[in-house]
Amino acid sequence: MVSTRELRETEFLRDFHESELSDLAGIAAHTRWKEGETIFHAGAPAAALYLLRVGTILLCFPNGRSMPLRDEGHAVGWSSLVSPFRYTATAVCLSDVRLYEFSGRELYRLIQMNALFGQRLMQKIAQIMEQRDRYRRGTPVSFGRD
Amino acid sequence: MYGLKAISAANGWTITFTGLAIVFTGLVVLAAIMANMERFLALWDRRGELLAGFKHPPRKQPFLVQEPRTDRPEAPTTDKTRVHLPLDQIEVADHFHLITNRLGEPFSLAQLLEKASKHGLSSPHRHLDTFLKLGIIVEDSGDRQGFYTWANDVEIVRSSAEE
Amino acid sequence: MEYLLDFWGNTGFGLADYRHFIMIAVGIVFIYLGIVKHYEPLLLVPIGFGILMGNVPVFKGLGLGIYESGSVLSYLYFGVHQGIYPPLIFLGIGAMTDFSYMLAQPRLMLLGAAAQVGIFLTFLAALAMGFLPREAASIGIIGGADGPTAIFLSAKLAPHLVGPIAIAAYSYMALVPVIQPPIMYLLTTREERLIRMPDPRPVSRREKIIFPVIGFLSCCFLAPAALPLLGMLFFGNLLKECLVADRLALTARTALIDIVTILLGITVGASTQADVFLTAKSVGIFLLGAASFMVATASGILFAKLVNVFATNKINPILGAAGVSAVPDSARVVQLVGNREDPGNYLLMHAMAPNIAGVIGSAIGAGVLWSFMM
Repeated sequence: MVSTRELRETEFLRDFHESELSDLAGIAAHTRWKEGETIFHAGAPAAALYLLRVGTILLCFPNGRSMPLRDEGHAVGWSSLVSPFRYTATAVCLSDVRLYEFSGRELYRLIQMNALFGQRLMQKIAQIMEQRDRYRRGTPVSFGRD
Repeated sequence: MYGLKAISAANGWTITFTGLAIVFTGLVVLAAIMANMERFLALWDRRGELLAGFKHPPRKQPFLVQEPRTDRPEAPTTDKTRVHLPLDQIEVADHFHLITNRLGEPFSLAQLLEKASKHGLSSPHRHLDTFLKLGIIVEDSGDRQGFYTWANDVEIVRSSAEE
Repeated sequence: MEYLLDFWGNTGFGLADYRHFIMIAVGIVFIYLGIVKHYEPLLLVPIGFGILMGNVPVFKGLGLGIYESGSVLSYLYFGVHQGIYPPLIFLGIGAMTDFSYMLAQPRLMLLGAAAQVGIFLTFLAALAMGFLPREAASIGIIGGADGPTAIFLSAKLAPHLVGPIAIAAYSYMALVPVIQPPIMYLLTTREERLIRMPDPRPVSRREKIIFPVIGFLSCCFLAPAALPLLGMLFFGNLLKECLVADRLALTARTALIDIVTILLGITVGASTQADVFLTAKSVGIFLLGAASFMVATASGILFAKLVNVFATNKINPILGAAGVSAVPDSARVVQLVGNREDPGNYLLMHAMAPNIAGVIGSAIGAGVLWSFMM
């Protein structure tokens, strides 16, 4: 069971309203992953959005680029809210990782219920997309001999 | 009154064209200002430099001060950061070096992990996390953002407790 | 027996006619959609219950109805017909909106302006259908797809139409995913929908702080009548971006906007009394509202195509549909349609630019219409 207080302390959700946090807490789940485990694969149907609590995740894009996420509060799995609802990167745990997991379908239901919450959430998602787009869109580069 | 007569009687055409012109002008002016804002701010940041140019115009004849010439090459900077690692991590770093020598620099972390796992290296993910945290492996920039290189300014040394 | 008959005559059952029951049914449908279908419950539940409150027939002269002076509802309704609530909602919207997508790509702001063509063409159509100029202006603003702006302008120009206009505006905003895609497909080719947009540049904090000040001054000097809406929108945004007034920004985007939404919803609902709402004019308003929304969508798309004739860096024309504001739904629809054609094309962050510019554009449009009708 995830508490509203825990979510409030997450950077990603800091400016969300108490009632919205309580709705989010209702659909959130704690998940734990071991070092080396893959949280999701690029191209797989995107079912959940995750917020990082502890640990390091490496996002590996199909073009060979990658991006480590270390700070608490990073969101991964934005594709669960944006069509075509397929992950654009593979998320691999570089250490033991603890995450909050939110079902994409449940999140979408909350967005439909509350337009202002939807606006705030989608703005944040758009920011993340913009930041990661540089990694996703970069062309594959071959530097080596292998 | 209905139809075009009603529109003309209420000055509908004038209101529509003027209204649209005002909405467009408002957003065009705002877009033009904001499109140039970065440039205005850059000029503002250089205001001291630019004003100095006005106050003390540059001399017409270049005023050169000849530095005494020395044939000695500039001493290379040797201030490398020392990172202390236990022996097992140094071995992993060496192994990673072997892999990246084959991959070429900058390299893809996903490929590095894949090769390291194939070579049977234990806990490659954890070690990679450590190397990234300590700045031993660093991200490239520009077009190569998302690819990584070994940091030039880091020297790996064995932890003193183990020596 | 006579007393009993008198009593019966003074009850709601005695005073009601079929129109009251129709409106009560509408109110129950709104509440049902809000609670069971989770369809914009923060708006539909208060409006639905307000419809019930406004349509319990009461004895005139007891000071109970929303249109009777001195009644509690009339005091609450004061905020609607004096245009107090919409600017407060704009304050909250400003305090939660990130303008950086728009600042990163200023040319996309023009799509937000183009979509406002819908407002003015609907204004002309309403005039042609026999509506009075002030009523026509209030109906036209439905095409701005901005509930608070529609309520603000109709409260100022045609207070008797606030109910139908507000309900039409919110209904069409909720129908964005149904109304917009067919128009996008109709007006664009597959090649156009495949256009990818360049990465937006990063926007500095200084630019974000300067923007609300410059935006407010440039827009309100041009259309001073938009001052109540745009002043509050940009003020809210300054509170958000300056970071030193975070407490105020937090209150504006949470507690304040919630309180005003409750008051606005319940009073707009209560203003739909059967005798005021169930008229031929309301039917006309709903028809024109739908047309207004479609024209606004089409105008944004066609303007983007026009820009592409001259521009070297082409714009994906479906971004024009996001110019109708309706934040964030129309931006999501643009993303959905673009993505169907090319799964690797992410238009959401680009669509947020005309989407937010549309909010500014519709407020300027409202200000312009208000000043012409004064």
